[in-house]
Amino acid sequence: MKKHAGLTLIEVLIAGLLLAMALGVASVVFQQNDLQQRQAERILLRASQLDSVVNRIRYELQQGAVQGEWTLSDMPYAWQAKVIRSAAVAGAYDAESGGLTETNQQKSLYQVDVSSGDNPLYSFQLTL
Amino acid sequence: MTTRNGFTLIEMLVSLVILTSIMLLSSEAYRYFVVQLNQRQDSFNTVSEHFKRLKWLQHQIASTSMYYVTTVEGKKQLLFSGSKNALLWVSTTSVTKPGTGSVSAMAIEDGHLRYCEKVLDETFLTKANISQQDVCSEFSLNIVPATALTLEYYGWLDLTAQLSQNPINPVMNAASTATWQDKYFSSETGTLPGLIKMTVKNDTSSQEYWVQLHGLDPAKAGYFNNASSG
Repeated sequence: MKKHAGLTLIEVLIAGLLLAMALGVASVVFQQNDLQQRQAERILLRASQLDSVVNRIRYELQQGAVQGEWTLSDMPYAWQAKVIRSAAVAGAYDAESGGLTETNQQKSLYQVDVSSGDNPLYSFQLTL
Repeated sequence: MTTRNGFTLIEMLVSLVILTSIMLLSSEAYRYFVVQLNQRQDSFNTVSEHFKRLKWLQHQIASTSMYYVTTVEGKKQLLFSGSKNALLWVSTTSVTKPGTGSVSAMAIEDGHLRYCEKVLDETFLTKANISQQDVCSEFSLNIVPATALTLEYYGWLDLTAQLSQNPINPVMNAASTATWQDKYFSSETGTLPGLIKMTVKNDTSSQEYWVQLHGLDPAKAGYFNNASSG
């Protein structure tokens, strides 16, 4: 009489299932890692542009613009600014009135919103 | 009758073939994953290192100081020499020795955007005859791989033009008398530019940086209340 002591079909199926699950989990972990690295790289590239974006917006505000669209280092940006508060710059001390004289210069506080495509990127305030 | 509990030769051979194939496939897959992971990690580290170095460089330019030296004729002049492709300036900060000022220089060298500095700690620089080579002999650092550097300066042609505009915010305003120039020598203008645009090109891309000089802008500060990146 011959006796076969091999694996049953159920055992083989369970082993296969466990193997597939392990591989599935490993590949998900790998993919997540890869995605996160890519995202971190993108964020870093954006961050490296931040100072330049603010300085360019400040410059354009000084030139009289209140909105603009341009590409900086292959990345598209759109910005718009609105005045939140504006006040005359104080001048010299006036002994007669006991206060400060007003000058014809204005200082304004701007609310600036920057986006890229449909994604809002930054929202900040600056004075000019 | 004898009972054999061991494997037959055929069973052994088949199992060996299966085991070998699985090992071969898994090692290939493993190598593929690991190589990709390492490449991604290397790329991220490079981007991160470039980011850090470019920040240093921009900070050094933004911290430009109004530093006077004496010419061979005995005249006082500001030390700031900006050409189309190179810049020599004095900064209130330094990369190598925090808390001290430095004479800084940058240009393209050996396929890189190179930053150089000479720390101003014990010996102050008094003469105007310092060159890029003098500065680079002390300390140099490759910032990013680059094939070309283009500089543009937003500034005044002379001190009178600068002083004739709004004294409250002298850097830039609506009635600014400043203009864009492709070179800026303080020995000729007697003042510093307000803004510098720097374009760094390499084989694959062109990066643009706008640096505002801190010392000249009283309104400059961190105003971010909702900064995020995407």
